[in-house]
Amino acid sequence: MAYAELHCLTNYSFLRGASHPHELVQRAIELGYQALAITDECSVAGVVRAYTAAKHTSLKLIIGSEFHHPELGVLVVLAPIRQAYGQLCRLITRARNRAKKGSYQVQASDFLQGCEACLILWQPPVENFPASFGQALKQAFPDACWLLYERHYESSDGDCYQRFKGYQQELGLPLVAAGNVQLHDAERQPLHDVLTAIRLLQPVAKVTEQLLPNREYHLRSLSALEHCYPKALLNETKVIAARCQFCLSELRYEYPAELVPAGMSAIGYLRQLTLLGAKKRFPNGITAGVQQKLDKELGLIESLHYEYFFLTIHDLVQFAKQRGILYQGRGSAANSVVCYCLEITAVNPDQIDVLFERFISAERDEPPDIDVDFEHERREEVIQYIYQQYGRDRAALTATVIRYRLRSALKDVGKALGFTEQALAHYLAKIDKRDQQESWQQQLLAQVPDLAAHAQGQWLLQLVDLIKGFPRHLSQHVGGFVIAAGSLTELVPIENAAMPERTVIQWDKDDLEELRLIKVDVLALGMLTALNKMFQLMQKVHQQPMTLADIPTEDSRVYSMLQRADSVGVFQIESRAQMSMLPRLRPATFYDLVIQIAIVRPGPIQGDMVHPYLQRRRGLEAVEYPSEEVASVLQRTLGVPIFQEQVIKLAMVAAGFSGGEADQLRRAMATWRSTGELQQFERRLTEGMLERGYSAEFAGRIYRQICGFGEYGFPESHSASFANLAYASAWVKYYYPAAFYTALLNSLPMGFYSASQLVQDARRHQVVVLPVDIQHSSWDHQLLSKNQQAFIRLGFRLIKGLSKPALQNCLEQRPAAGFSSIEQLKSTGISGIDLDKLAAADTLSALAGHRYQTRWQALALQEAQLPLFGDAGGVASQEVLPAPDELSDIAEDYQALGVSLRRHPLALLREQGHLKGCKTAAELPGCRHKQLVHLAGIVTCRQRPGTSGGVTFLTLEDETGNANVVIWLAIARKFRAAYLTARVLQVTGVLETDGEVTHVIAAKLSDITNSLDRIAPKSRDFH
Amino acid sequence: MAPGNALRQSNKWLFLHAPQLLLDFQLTLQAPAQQQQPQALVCQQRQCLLQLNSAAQQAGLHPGQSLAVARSLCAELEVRLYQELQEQQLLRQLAHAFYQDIAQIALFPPQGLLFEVRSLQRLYGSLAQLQQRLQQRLQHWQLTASLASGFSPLAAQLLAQAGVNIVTGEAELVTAQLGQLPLSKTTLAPEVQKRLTGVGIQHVAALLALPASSLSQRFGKPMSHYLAALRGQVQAPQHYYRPPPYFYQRVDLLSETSDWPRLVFVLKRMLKNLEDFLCARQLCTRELVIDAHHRNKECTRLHIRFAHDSWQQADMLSLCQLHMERQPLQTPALELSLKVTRLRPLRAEPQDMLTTEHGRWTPAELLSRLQARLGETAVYRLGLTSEQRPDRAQQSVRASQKVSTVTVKSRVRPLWLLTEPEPVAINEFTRQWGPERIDSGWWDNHHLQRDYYIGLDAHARQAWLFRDQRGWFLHGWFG
Repeated sequence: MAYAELHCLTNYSFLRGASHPHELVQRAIELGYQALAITDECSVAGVVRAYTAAKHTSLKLIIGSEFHHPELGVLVVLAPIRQAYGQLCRLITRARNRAKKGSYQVQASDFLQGCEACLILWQPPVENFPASFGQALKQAFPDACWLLYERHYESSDGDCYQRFKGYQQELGLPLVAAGNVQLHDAERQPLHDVLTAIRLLQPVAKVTEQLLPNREYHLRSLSALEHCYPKALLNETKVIAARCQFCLSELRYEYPAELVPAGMSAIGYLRQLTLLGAKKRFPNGITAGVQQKLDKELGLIESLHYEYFFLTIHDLVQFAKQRGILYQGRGSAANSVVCYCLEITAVNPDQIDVLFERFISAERDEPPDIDVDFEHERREEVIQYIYQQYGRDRAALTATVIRYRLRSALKDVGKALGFTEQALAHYLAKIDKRDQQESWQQQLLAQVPDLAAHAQGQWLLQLVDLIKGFPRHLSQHVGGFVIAAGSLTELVPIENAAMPERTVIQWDKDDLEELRLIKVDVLALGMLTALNKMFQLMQKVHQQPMTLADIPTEDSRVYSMLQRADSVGVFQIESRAQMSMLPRLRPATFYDLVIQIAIVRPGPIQGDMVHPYLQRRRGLEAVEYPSEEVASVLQRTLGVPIFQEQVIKLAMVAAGFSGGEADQLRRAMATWRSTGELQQFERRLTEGMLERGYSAEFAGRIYRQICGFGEYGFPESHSASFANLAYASAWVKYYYPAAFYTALLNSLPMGFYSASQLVQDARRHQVVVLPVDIQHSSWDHQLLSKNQQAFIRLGFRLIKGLSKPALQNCLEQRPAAGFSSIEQLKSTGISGIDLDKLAAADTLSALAGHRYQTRWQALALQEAQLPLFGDAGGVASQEVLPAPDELSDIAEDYQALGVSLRRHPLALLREQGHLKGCKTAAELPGCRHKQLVHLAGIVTCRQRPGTSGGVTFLTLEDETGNANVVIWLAIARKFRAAYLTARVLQVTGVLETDGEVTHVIAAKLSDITNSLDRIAPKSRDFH
Repeated sequence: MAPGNALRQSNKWLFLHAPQLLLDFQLTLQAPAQQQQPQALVCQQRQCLLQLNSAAQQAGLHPGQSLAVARSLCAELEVRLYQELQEQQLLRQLAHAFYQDIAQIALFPPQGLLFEVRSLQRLYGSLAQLQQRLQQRLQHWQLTASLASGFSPLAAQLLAQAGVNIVTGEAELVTAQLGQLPLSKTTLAPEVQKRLTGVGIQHVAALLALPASSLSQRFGKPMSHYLAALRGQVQAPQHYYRPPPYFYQRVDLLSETSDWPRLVFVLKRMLKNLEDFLCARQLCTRELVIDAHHRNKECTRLHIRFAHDSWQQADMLSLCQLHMERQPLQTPALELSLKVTRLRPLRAEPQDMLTTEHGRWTPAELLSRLQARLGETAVYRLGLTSEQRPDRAQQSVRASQKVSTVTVKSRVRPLWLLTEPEPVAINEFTRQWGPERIDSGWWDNHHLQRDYYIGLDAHARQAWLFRDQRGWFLHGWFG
């Protein structure tokens, strides 16, 4: 017997289907089904996953969707041909657009008009048979409409069959059998029940009525089906399946054609643009080598039909360029000569020749990858341009599938099983997700052994694991746009996103990649905003016009600054971990920076690549290659794989992976933590390498490194683009420090450091910083110069909660000589609240003396204060308030501005004798290795990386700078309260120095927050 | 007006602040060993600690701390949700207890009581005597609390809430203490406090030293009202506590229990409170309602009627014990409550329980008397629940339970369901219809996997049969 299942939901019918698309496909194949239709509710979000699983198998995959209507019943719409698929996508888009995110609404007319090419399976509602709709369906779909009969052994089965027989007689429509499948295997029933409970926001035991009565909703065996349905109804499924010929591989992406001038071919136009750009980029003429690469790349682009992709991105960056928006492309295809000539990236090919070998690889069959970063404050302009240029029916954002992770799974499943939120929070607190050795179940059972003792607990452990990785809802991708030549809805349905005015397609980036559809990533990057501001300031104050491409390359003074870990504010290499690597890696060339950025990542750290690399770099360890091929891949990183591409390439040259297999490996690496897909490659890798004469030890090491890389591997191409920005920002920091800090401060929030930390760093670099002042400041921080000396005047944007338009209105009325009194300032129309904020920030001292006095006066000028007593009206207060002491002033500075230009609070503590015997951060490098030291500071950062094995890294700030403290687990436990909560900490420990890196291994922690309680800002903890 | 002037008055108010009223009360219900465990009440919304016992404080925890931090500091911390309503109820009980000593008590929820004490001086002779009396009561309740005098309700309140213990007649002492309070200990709006700190005013004394006119110019009417209230220049009317005409107390058992001695222990305390209540009013009663509240079930109610007027703990307890022994709790309880709504004046002659004025009972009366006589669990009615599993879909529901309104899917089900399915020889039946497959209930250890059929027996009776792994069974008869 042959059977085609025509009504089947996957877990992309969120909280309804209890099986992944690939599980359903695999099971259908095992059971010998002829075809399987994936018919998620008003969605095709799961079809690509099913397509991937069914590819190269005997199973025919049918695309469809299920719709519910309160009066019409259930309709399953199938797409037999390409045209029908387009109609189905439009139907879904229409229904989704009528409702808010996550829901939909259909009408009878949706089916009757515009779906002519589709097949309809109809299940009328149990009561009030809509006879006229039935007639209309029959007319609209001659020979293409069936009555959908489904039986799951319920007590109403007999009545139901009679009803359907009646409909058949009345309408003359044929009957067909289907399973309304929601589980691939009967064993999934408990999970299905839990999903139902989650959907209804109640425990399972409270929603028994809505649960499946039995397990018949799974993919049933052919013999069970024969037992269940009349033969004719089963045969009809074959008839329908035979009519379904559409396959997702037919989808062809058509690029927007308007980018090419009339009369020109796309490749001709691209060639023209590239040549024009090449003249600009290489004013001294193109070398033969570059010309050769250019030709090779253009040839590849033509043969793979990627012209429009490059033209689309070129169009976007041209727009950004016209608008003066700073941008930079990155990704494997971005580091090509073509992209350099098209001005998509600014990475100079002279610097990084090696990268040009990796372009789009025809052999690896992966689509080109170009992300373009734009200034974070101006990316919206680019997005609006896309919508304007192409229209909302042709451009939409890619979806991101939000999936269950351990935390959300434990919470939702736990609640469905009747656990209290308290208990679940308690369990979650017991699990350290970063623990590599023990699974979460082992950890939980070790601490809550009772859990396994009752059924509820056992179910929790089981079902949470099953539900992990289940899609929960669609969200919008950070910036991946799909742009089509015609209407996008012919290709994939579009639905509303949570954000107003945003629409997303129903597929995510993996789906697009599988179907070889191309997205353009329009991303936001804070450092680009800052760099643009730096260039503007340099132009204005130093009369130094500058663009990214103008920055002199390979400046040794810039590198020596970085080697000293003097990198606060520098893109990507400013974090504590990067800073402690800088003096060890000692980057001296651009490519060193590329490595520096990629190496301080969990991937290389977990894969144990850092130490060998450093040893080899210092010449302390020999560099050996097991073969020529391996040498070709690893030479540039001294034999240690550091980039994701190298690992993939190794699999190809050492284990003989084909391009397609390598691509599968790359995808598995991106997701293995959630699906464990990587294991299937272990044997293939090991055997491949052994066959090619590599040692088992080498093979094992490569596999471990791949596992370590996991989702954290960093591609070389991205690293190179980041290195470009890192170098650029470091260069500005070295040569134009005042412009550097001003621009960074004007681009906050971004990066790793707060305004306070940036200002302190600026002053340590001898940059003069002047306070916010009502007579001199503007909204933004200003870069000013006097006698060739640049200095920073802080702006009002630091003042927390101050209204920008109100303040700007006030500044427009500021007399040239400044305000003469608070009353005059008030007369500009500024509100009492804003006036108080100005006074609290001590910006009015020019008008009325110290902070308390100005604030007292400002308070008197608040509007709408009716005099209560006769003597109060209009008379200025005569009280003279005592001036604040230094500590109070500092505290108020932090409160109002988050920054203080007065002394560092630690300097005060030291002066008052609270820190006897404590070293300052600046004194540490002068101490002996292994010397016992005391130090104290404000805790600015606590980090416990997953790679550190329980070690916490703490940054302590004092008046001279920052000190690194390392806290081992035992000490953290012993001084738990101080470790977790102290904002000002005193540490006793042993100093360790390794070259220029110093840190203190803590032996004792004491919380001295009380001494500075009013001041210490909150630290960045465990982010 | 000079501040000194305003404050030259007597302290006619006393404020009692019990910062961990609810927790202290819960501790009294615990065994000494358990009291030593660190425990805390937490705010569900903000996920932070509200009240802590001393063991928790010694572990370095403090109110306001986030639950996550607290847990990592003290892994063995026992955490319960703060129940605002319970604490309110407790505060009323506390007021009730003090009502025996003081006539004018105003409630300041969640944890404060204000006593008007000037009128009491004659009664108690000296403040010291009154204080002693109050301390005794506090000890009896095992409460951590501070007591502060004040020349205005607000002054007393601020001092007590700041943890200052000062019972005195001298206004100057109060003024001095008040002056030292930091602004954060006042009940001024946080915004106002922030602005005052912003002009260098840190303590109440500095605030009181500023001219009222300058302050009101800057902070408006609410500030002058506040200061006038603090100085006692305006008298806000107080709503004094009046005892309720019924008795109700609900006690959290802290952990689920059906443990008999534990329940009696708690009940004893409640009955003692009831006795105090009744004695104070010269009242008695003939019926009590004891409710045991469960986690996911309707509460179990014990309706206890006495044949004679009762008011003494021991008397009431013995009868309650009898009832409770006959009906042990089926499900562990979380809370126990005691309610007495029918109060009667204490009289001499007793009445017979079963005679009534009218001689006839309404169905409800009959039911309650049947329940009182036979025990509540002996009276049932039939009910339907929404369940796939037939034996659970049709249940006997306690007559006293409310009927839950569920829309139940129509399924073919016989009205007469056997209590226990009986094994049958299937060849004695002719199959009429089937199967209906039921596979459900994995979550509660009563997993059912059955195929149901309708069959006719030799007498052409319609039987409801099922088959499972063990064979064929008869489960019911259609009417």
